[in-house]
Parts: sequence; structure tokens; C-alpha cells
Amino acid sequence: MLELIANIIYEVTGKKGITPDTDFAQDLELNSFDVVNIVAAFEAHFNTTVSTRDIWQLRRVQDVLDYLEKKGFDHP
Amino acid sequence: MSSDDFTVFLSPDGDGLSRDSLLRTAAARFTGRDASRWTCVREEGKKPRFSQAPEVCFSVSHSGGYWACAFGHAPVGFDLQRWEPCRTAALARRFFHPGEAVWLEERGGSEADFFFLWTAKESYLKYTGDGMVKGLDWFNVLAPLPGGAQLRHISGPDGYSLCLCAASVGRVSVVRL
Repeated sequence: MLELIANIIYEVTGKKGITPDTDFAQDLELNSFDVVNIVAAFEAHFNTTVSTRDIWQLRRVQDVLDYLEKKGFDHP
Repeated sequence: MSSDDFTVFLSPDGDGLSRDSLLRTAAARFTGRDASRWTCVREEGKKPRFSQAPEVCFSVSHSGGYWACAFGHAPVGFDLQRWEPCRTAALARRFFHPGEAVWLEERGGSEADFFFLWTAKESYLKYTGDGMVKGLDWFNVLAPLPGGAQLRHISGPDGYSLCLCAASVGRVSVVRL
């Protein structure tokens, strides 16, 4: 799952070196548009909708992993 | 300078100076004071401020190769965004007000139009302090804004959109650092 997330982030932003501890703002220096663009790519890939409230709680890659597991997306 | 005049400082990002240094340099230019030891306080749910000069209003943005900050004597929101390749119509339908999505689609969905909307929306949310938590679809920047806030789109580098939002917007000066 981490590799899949890393691939989506790379495709959208060109950023590499993703680990579970990667912080989107601090480490990748992503801004709000980048986050929205990534969320749209996730939604398209997983055919789901992330609630607005949840989007801004996802600050690190680990948060995304936890979110996907909670939503039942354990496997790519 | 009247209370609805603003100054936008623009600098290449990653050009030797850290963003905090850029902010202090811009603050010094704006206030005419020594801001070299000023500390920017960032608290969840609040606008950033200088602990040594809380009366100075500012709003920072960075994107692509640029860093920018709007300064004024009244609350301000500011956004700068490079035109990134993206599925403009799909993003607008998903995240924007329906009226904005229709407007974008009718005009062909260009990146220039998409980021015209994006920077207007983000500058408004920065101005109000609401942030993105409530989403982007509950207000329409092509219609009068809640509370009568005003937007001003500003010319910037090619391939970038810039927008400033305040209760009232008078003169806006752009200064390159």
C-alpha cells in the first residue's frame, strides 16, 4: 500500500522518498492545491470520496495508510 | 498608506534565504523597522502573527519557484499558485461551488481560469481564517462574497495566479525582493 501511495504522490507532484513518517507540508512542502490534487487522484484510484473534514486530518503518509485501512482499502 | 492599501512582496523561493528570513526581510521593508529578530507565531486555527508586532497583518503563500507575502494594516488573505497540470474540470466539479464549475467548463477549463478561481477561493479562506476545513464549495468567488469581502487579482510571473482578499482593497503594490 505504501508503494501505491508513493506512486500516486509521485505522479501528481513529482515528489519521491515517501515513508510512513513523511509529512506532506513539512517534508514535501506541498501546499493546499497539491493536497487537493492528490486527494482527487486517490479518490479516482479507489473509487471513493474523502470527506472534506477528513482531507485536512491527513497530514502524514501514515495518516493516509490508517485512513485507507479504516475504510477497508487494505490492498491495492 | 491607507488601511485598505496592501504591499505584496515576491521572491524566488529557495534562493538562499529561508522562508522565515524572507518573511522578516519583507516585514522590515514594509514597516521600516528592524525585524531581524521578529518571531512568527503559528497556532492552529489562528492567523500567523509576529509576536513583536501583532498589529502587522500579513498572509504568506508559496508555489512552484516563488514565495510571496502580502502585508497591510488590516486583515488580509493572499494566495499565489503556479499553474500545475491537472484535470481542471474534474477538480472544479469535485471541490468548487457549482456556479464556478459551470463557469470554468463554459470557458473551456483552462489552467489560467482554474487557478484564477483557486487563488480567489484560497485568499478568501485565508482572509476569514476559516481555512479549508469547511471545504471550498460553500461560497462562490464569482458572486458577492459573504461579509462583503473584496478580491483583487494581481499580475505576477508568467504561469502564476495571485489573488488578495480583504474587507476593502485599495492600492496594491508589488515589490520584488
